[in-house]
Amino acid sequence: MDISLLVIVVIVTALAFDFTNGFHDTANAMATSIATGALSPRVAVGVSAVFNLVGAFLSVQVAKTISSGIVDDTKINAAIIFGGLVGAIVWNLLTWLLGLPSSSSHALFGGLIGASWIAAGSGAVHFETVLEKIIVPAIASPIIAGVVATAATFLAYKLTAKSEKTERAKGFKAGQILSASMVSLAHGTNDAQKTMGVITLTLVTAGALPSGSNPPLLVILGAGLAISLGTFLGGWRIIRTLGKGLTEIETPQGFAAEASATATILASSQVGFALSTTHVATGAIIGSGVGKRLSEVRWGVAGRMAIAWLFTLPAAAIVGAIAGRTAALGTAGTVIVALAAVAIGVGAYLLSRRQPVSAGNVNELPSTTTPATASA
Amino acid sequence: MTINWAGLGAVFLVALVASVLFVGLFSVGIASWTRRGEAAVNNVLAIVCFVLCAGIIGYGIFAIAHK
Repeated sequence: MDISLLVIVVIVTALAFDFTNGFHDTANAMATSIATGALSPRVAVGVSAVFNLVGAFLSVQVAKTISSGIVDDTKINAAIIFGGLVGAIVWNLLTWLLGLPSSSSHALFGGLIGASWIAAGSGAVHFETVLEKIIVPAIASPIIAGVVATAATFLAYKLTAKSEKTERAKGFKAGQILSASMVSLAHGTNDAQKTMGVITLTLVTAGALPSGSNPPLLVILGAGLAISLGTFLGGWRIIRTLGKGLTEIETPQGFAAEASATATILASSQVGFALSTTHVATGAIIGSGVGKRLSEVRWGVAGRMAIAWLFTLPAAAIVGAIAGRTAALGTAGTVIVALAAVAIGVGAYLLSRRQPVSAGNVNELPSTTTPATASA
Repeated sequence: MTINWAGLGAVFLVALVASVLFVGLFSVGIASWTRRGEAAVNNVLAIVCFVLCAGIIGYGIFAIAHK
């Protein structure tokens, strides 16, 4: 088949994934700031989009090791990458529809694992690395972020106990603008780079770039813009779940949660764990609920999220495997997969219109969406 | 399979110390900023706290760009 067509399709699909990554993960950085009113919803997604774009330019370390040794790079081809991306996009859209924050990174890894497995055999997947680099951090990171946020929240209330309540709220509101921006920045450096890595890898496989290249400026810009645009549109459904669904959040809690999430993300990227911003942010928000005495954490909602996390990798892997296998059949297969992905995207959008969540109603309690998510 | 316990422990400790330090300093800053009484002393203390917080943020950005 014509390689250049497949390469173009893969690049477009990678940017589409990056876009879903953006609106799926806006919540990680901005949910608590929107919930506490530190930033108005529109301003929040705008700030987050800008910092995501800036973050994309800060570093290219993650982009260089996109598959992180999870699948055998030498056995990967454009059809496998395409299948993996489609698996990740489909999972991102479905979880967005249900308002569930799930890891875009896990969706991408799952899609790649599934597509590689079917195309090149189980030998192409390094399962031990999957366990070490994905599963273990996935369990540990929300717990770490949760414990850290519990301590930070407790401290924030303790130290400001004598302050006048509205004054205190104002102070932490200002702080939240800073802390939320930091989460967005860290997110941009982590997640925009995954797409850069995928595109660069595709260009290398196609022979357009020498092996071991850094992402070209145009690729960095494209990936940064795609994730920022997605962020700016705002995944309001997920923002509502994270900001209002887990616990009632006050400004000191939001500040402590965002600071803890940023610290955990930065610390682990230094150690080399490919952790998920989603898991960390969710853990930190739950921790901030535990850290404030007498505040109530809705563990049912948290449990439903945990189940979505469990299914992320295998579900994306199955879709990725089917998509990758079909795309490998040739141009017709690629076109079928692309059309199917577009159809699912349009379908998800149309379904979302039945119970729309927007900047206007993002802070209303998610009772209206409970039937939809409970039946899932 | 080996679990990188040392790495996990390091992440936990660094995240805990950084967050507690940052949130603690900011909270002390807010507490003294809003405290009644000796305005000058309180405000200086608050500003010192906020400057230290800014320093921690600066180090965070440095860490992102130079990993």
